[in-house]
Amino acid sequence: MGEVESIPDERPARPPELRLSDAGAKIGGTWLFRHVHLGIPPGGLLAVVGPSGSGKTTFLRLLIGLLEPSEGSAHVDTQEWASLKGAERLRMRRTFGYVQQQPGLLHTTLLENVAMPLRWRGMPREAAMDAARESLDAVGLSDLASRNALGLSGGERQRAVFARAIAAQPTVLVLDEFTNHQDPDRAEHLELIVAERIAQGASGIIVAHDLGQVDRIRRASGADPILGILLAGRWITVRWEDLSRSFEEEQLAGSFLRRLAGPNVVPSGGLDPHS
Amino acid sequence: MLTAEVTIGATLLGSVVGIPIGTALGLSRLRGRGLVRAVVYSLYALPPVVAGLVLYLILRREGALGALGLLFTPWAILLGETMLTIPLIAGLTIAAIAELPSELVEAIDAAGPTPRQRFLTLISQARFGILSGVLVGYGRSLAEVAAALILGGNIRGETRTIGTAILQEVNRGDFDFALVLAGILIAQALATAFLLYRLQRAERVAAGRALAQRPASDQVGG
Repeated sequence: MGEVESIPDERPARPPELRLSDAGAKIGGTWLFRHVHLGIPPGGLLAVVGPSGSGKTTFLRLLIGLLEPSEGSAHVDTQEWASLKGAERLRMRRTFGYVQQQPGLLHTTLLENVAMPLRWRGMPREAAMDAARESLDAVGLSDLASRNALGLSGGERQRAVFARAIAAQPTVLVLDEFTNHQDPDRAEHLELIVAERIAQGASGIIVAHDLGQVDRIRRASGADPILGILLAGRWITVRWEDLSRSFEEEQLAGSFLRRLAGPNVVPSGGLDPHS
Repeated sequence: MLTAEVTIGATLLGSVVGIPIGTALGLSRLRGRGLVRAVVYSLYALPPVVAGLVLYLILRREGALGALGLLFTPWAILLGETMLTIPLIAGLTIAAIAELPSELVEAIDAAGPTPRQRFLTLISQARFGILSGVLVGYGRSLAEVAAALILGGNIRGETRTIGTAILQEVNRGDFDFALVLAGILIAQALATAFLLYRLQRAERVAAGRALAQRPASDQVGG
């Protein structure tokens, strides 16, 4: 324990590569998803979509080692999460900035909440407080710094967790519907912060319920996202450019086919790109 | 009288042992955790006479630890009272830790704490419930006579506690003195209860409207 205690904050500057091989997750006896193969290179951007209950949050937990896959394996760089122990595991864990969908906040001031991971990394109190204040300022919460975090509104809590995640300068951002409770202006502001980090070389894994968000982050960061879809227990990946092309092609083909069919033919059960 | 030393010592020792056990059991997702928790809870009702008897057999000259010569010393009483406080402190710690929101535990884990940082953060977040356990443990060892009598022998100036002294005065028929001693005990118990109340109040004020938004189970014992 003492050995672990004293490790300095020497996280790798480069984000780790993340990989799932034939991974599956079973919760309470039922498979959420199986046979997921995926690699996210350093600096990559992955957007995950899927209906609610499809296992998006569980998927994130596998990727960042908070949960072990029920089958298959989850890797960071060359190592399997399950084989990482002690100080190594800790060092790896600290490369991630995780924004939960359900914000988990400590029963203490907002400032202490944001400073906590920094203090754990051995940053002196004053420096940690300064960095935490800066981070709160970036998400528009500096006025509430001395308030108890549990007394904040849902949207404020979510931004608090966001501020905590970015304060520690993670090289991988893991965001689970991180703008759920934000109004559009705030959401866009948070998206810009994410885009900026990605443009600076961080990896991003974003569970989104809105492809517009992915598109905005893509444009602002210049990253080329992979879209992962969790649907009916399956994992499907689509490259962003293929996605926009298939929409376009479908539209073209659709209008052509409609003309060909004439006004009296109403196809049923056709492909709907939005479902 | 050594009542205060023994009681405080047993509470501290019981905390040192009981809080880590309770934390581990409160977080555990291993198979069989329910059974282990049930055993801890059932030890709430461990009769002090039985605890005293078991420890007596271990500490007497022929016993496993007889060579230490602890029987009929304050150390024996301290050990006996500690045995009685551990289940209470561990049990209430289990409840307090298990009540922490799972997203909070996850947030703590995701931030990469060392085992020590993790433990300290968890118990500070569950401090409210844990403190109740510590004070209830204190109350139990304060009020306890049977184990103290068996293990200490009620030797005047050496192993006599307020509780065992009351017993003796009652046997001798000196009810006045027994009542005075009882008053001292009650005063200490009241002081403990008052302290508990104040701590809980302070906690609530600090939490502001936060506690009002949390499930009622967070406010047990208020």
